[in-house]
Amino acid sequence: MSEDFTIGVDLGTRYAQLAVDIPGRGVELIPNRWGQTKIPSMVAFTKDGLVAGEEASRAALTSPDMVWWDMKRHLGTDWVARVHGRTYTPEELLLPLLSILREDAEAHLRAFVSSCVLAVPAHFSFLERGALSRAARQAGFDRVRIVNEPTAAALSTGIDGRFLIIDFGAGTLDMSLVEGEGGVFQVIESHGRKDIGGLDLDRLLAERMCRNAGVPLSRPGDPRATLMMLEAETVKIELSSANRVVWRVPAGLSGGGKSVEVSRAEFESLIKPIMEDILIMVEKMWRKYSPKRLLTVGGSSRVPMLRRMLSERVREPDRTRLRPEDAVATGSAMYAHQGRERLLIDVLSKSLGIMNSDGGVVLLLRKGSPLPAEARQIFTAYGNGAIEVTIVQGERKVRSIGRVLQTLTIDKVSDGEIVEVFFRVDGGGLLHVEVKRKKKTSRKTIALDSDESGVVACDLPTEMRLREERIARLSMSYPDNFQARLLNITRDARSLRNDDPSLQWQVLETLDRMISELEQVASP
Amino acid sequence: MKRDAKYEALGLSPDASWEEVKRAFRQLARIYHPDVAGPDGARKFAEITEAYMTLKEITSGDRHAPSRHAPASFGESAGGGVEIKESFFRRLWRKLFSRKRARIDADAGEGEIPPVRARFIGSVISRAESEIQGILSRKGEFTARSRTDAVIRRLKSRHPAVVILALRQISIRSANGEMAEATIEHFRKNMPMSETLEQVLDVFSNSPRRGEFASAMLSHLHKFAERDALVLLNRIKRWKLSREYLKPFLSHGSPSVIAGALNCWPDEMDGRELPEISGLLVRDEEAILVPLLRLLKRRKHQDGTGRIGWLMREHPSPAVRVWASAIVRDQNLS
Repeated sequence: MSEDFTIGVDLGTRYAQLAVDIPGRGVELIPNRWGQTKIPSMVAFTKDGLVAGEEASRAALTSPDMVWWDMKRHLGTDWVARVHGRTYTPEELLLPLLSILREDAEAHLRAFVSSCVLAVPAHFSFLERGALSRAARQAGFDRVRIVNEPTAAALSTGIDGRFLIIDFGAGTLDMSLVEGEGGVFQVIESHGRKDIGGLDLDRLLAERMCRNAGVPLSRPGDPRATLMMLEAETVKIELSSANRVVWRVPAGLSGGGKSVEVSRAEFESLIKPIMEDILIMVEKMWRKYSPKRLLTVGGSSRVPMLRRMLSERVREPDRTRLRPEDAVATGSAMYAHQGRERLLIDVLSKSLGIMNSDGGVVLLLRKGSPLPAEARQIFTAYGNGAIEVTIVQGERKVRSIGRVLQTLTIDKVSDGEIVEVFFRVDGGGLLHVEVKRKKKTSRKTIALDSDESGVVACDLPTEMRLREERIARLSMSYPDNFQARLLNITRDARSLRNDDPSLQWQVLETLDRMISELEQVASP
Repeated sequence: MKRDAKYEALGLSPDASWEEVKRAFRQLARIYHPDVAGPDGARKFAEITEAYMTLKEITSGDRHAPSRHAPASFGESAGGGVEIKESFFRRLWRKLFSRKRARIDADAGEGEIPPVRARFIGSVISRAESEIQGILSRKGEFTARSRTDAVIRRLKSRHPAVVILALRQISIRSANGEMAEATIEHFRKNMPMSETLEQVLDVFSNSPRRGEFASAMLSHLHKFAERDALVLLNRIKRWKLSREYLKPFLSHGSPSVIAGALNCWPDEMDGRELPEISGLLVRDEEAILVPLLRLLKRRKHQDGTGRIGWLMREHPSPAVRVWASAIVRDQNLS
């Protein structure tokens, strides 16, 4: 069946884009129902409930206090949107957006789409990644992979050798140093800032435009402020190709109908401090690694000043065939076929550790480790009760700047019991935690509820294989007919491999009980 | 010593440079990365990453990487921890195995399992067997359920193309009772989009449950636009459903819909529905009155209220006057 499309999703702060890599046809961008490949990342509350995309951007002009477009910046925090006495978390707001993206892809591909690669900013924490992948699963994507935006963009370029890629989007600035060699793209280091983006440029420009036109600046949340931001965005884009733009104040604003001129020089003097910040980051990376090439992607990288400053102080950015806005979506779509022609190896952007009972931190995975990476820690219980495992992320001086991700509580441990905790960070930086408990004979895995705790359950196939081994060992001493029956049991258990996980858990329990009873009788 | 082992893990000699380390790592990653080799490669990949990370410190001279004089807690967690674990496992393994081997030897010595124990083992196995059979009987439910969920989720979409995709899935699987059930339930709660109405009706055209489905649709009839109501009416006519399904159309807002329902009304009527039909005589629209009078004439209706006589004399439409006078003539003749 043609149902195994995996789409690449660039969920930008301002626009979302979709792409799909169809074997034999290459990567193509997916247009939405209105024929656009750029879909506003907006969600609005209207009389029909939550709407997203183009519909939401139309609502932005009429009721801007009911429109959100910066959910991504709020992920993993306790920010909520309030509407008519109800609150919506960033995840809930992303749900309609991700749903319409999936539907647009389905309509275009004429098939159900249930797996995706989601690009996230490189500085996203485990919590933010977990929250986003949860939202995507709720929006109907059964399989979700996460990839970092700058590294996805690097994948789409397909360049060999060492290069620095800068992704300057509407809400974030990310840069990655990547080495490409023989189809393997290895990320050496990634940096990101979530306080620098194209929207900040728009805001500065909007203030200046208002002052020039003598229009009072509206407060955020005022319908006119949203309108002003959209006006500033248009003027900013025009200033990329023109030296001066005449802005006609729209009728919705006070002083409507007036026209004022904005020049590129004026705009550049406004954004100089931001550009300086970016240049300092770029120069630091450049000195550290002295890469061969420099690439810029993301819509905001079209600002001529950035290119000029980079050429003057660092190096002339490469000109690629790819449109800078499309690079992330294209790369994400290619990542769906990771391992075939191209292999992307990302790095852990923040160290991962656990806090001891005395407050000290044990580092489990070091920043810069190639992904996927795994680690495990063994705890021995002293006395009965519960063990608390506090997972932290941050740099080496974790104690001071580390951020507590989550506290796992392992209940009902008995004195001397050994508890093993497995940490696995997958290729996209999603953290999976699994707790294994061993008593004398039984090994139990606590399934952490993935929808509540931000971590997902353990690997069922491995568990099943362990049981099979033990049954096989037990049956060695049995008569033939028992051996045959045990073999049948394992075969039946294995036949559930692709079925409901809860059924598989039940089978595991049955097998565990059988094994422990058989072992009891074996060793008096 | 340990350092040499790391070089060996990457297939390198101990004097390899940082560039060589990276190249070797990438070549091995091309083979063992879990995205290439599947989950079986994970262990091997973990080994080469660990070797890579250690050699990175040694060979790159990267001052940002933790130096070898890192705090003790760090060094121990990276290296020592693993060793403790391994030795722990080895001990456990040895314990399990030695015990088992002893037992196997004992069993072999006895030649056979004592009957009491054999009976016990037999009962344990048969209990497990029956439990697993019970679980197996529910196999496939999950995939069917998640399929249905996926289809229903798409039926709720406001994107016509997505709804049509879902409908195609339903028609492929129309034999699946659960799917039909869920679809009818969905349409009982939600009105179909105008753009997809025809396709929705197509799905149920050949289904034995189309009557049930039609009544689900009829619960939304008052919200249907004229064109959609006519489409539904035509289907109901084609599906040869009973007149119960036609009744809701008589109260639709559009005269053409009422006329359509009257046009396909079966001739034989029972006494109960007559008042409802003749009640429509109070309407003034020609579009309703013509088919209504035609139906009443076939039914040999008696004009009790004088409304038909009035229509014959006063209604502006000649067609209405002709049909009304035909009824009055029949009445006079009898």
